[in-house]
Amino acid sequence: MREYTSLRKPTAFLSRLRHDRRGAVIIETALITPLLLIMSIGAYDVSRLVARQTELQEVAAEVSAIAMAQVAEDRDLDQLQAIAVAASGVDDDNVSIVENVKCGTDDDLEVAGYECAEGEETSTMLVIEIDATYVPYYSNFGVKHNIELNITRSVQVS
Amino acid sequence: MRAHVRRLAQDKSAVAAVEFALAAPLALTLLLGVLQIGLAMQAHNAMRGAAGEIGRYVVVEYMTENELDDGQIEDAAIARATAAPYLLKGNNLDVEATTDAGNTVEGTKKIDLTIDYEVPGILPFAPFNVISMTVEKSIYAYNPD
Repeated sequence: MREYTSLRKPTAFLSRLRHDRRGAVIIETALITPLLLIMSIGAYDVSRLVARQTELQEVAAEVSAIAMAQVAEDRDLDQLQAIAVAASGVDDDNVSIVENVKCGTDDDLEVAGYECAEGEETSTMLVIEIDATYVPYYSNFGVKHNIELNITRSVQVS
Repeated sequence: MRAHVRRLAQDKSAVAAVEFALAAPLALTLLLGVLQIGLAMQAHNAMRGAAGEIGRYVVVEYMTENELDDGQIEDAAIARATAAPYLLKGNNLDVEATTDAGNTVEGTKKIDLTIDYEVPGILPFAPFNVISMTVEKSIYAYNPD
């Protein structure tokens, strides 16, 4: 090891430091590590987000499977909502299950009780909507940016 | 003898071959490991696919008033999962269907389908050789009673 006895002469010290190639790898590591860590956390967060989205889609699929298995008289929207709330872990207000009316092949749905034009087929559609807030891991590091997830699934029940 | 060893220590020929011999087991294990994970993911997808198909099958059969019991559902699930395109190995497959007695959804029967599978290992020399996976599915079938 060379001795840095020339600390009293800063210019000489700096000039020597500038040409000193020792420890370059460790300095580069120190520079790049924070960036790598941030990117890893980001990748982890994205996969968690996708997993959450899939989970919510499965809840919607389960609710529509139940609704399809039931006859209209047995259908209890409150119970379906309770099942969705329990399975998804969101608040009561964030799950809405409503019955809508579809006339013929219209894209737009009408509210329950709507009378379709004469000759048009009237079908009942159950619309399941789940809203959830995803809190990313990086919220712990001061970046507050929650992601809203919204799952909508329509299923024809009659 | 000593001279021979000394010459060997100084001999720089065939360095690549020697290094390859050292690295090959590790590199091949890593390669096969990737393949093994791929096989596991394929098997998991196959289990989910088979579970979905059986769910649909049960629902449709119940609608035609063919009320399959748990054993029949298990047999159907095994038959489906071992056939193409899923081709899971029957010996590694365990299917359990149970009727949920606590189901409170009016007019339905709830059947819980559990599929367990042990992914065949291709790394008999590695410390892990069996990846066990489980897929669960709740089936709601029309049952007016």
